[in-house]
Amino acid sequence: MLPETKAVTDMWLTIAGMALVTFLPRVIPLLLLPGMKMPNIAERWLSLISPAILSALLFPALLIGENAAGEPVLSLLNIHLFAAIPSIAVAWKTKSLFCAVVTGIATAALLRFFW
Amino acid sequence: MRRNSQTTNSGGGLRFFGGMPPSPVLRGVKMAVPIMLGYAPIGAAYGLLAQQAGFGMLHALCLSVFVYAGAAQFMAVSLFAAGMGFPVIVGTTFVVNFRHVLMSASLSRFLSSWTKSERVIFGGMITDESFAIHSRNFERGDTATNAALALNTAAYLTWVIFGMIGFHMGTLIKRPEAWGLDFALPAMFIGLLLPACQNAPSVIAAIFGGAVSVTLHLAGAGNWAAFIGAIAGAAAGVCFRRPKP
Repeated sequence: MLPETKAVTDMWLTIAGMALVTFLPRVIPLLLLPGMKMPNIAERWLSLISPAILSALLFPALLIGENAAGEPVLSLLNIHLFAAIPSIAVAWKTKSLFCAVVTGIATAALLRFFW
Repeated sequence: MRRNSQTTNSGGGLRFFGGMPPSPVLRGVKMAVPIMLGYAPIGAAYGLLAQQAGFGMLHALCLSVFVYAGAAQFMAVSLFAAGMGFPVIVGTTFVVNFRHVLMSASLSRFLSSWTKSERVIFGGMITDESFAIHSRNFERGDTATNAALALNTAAYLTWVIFGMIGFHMGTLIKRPEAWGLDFALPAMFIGLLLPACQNAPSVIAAIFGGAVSVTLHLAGAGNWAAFIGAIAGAAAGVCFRRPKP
């Protein structure tokens, strides 16, 4: 066990380190890239980051569960995947982000109640 | 493709001041509402977890204030509780949060008219969720600085304040998932992903990005999943659009 003061210093150092390695990737491209001449293919690639990263974040939230040992496994029978269906329908139909979110929350709550 | 319209209204919903155009700040806050719905319960869950892991109030608060990244904060609290030190925690944070470099680069295409300090303040508050909304707005030609910064600030304050609420009275909030609130952010990604898939390359990018990310999760490389999934998905989309001979 570390002495108390060293542990606290380590904690602050760790928080500062986390802040730095999070801040720099967020800010450096915004500072360097505007005004830079970019090849057309890079511009096209950047324009596709949005759909690619959104689904890279969404798909695991819908499809990945945990087994008894806490390891990630493919899960097709889970509340999130079922709640996604009405959310997709409402997002498609109304084009409203707010309606999609409220539908998703309500469906997830209902499913959890009856599951 | 960009800045082709003078869109200033973000679509249906509430109207402020009896039909007068809402101020940019109000507009930004209004656009942040779906994010705030998701951040409030997750922020509170973070606060509770930090408190239970033995964090001091100031440490828990400063993580939210200076790092402001949900997944990394949850991970840091667990790693601390498991007795891990600086190199592991900072290294993992770097990996988990490196995906922001892609979001920042993607948004940078629209912000050449902003000042450097505006870009730094804006960039410091980029998250998965705010990126998704800014990306949609900027594509529509809506790059108003005040609205964008107000959106970021509203989401940020929600995260920080609910972190503290969770820290102090997290035990009162028994199970946020019973209210379906754990699905707020996935539902938001659905609502933003569908309109972003407007042509074949973007559909390919989404399918490929999602598939790569799921595969990496299953392979145990979940920390890299969003970053590599996004790179691969966007690359697949670019390849698809290669002009035919």
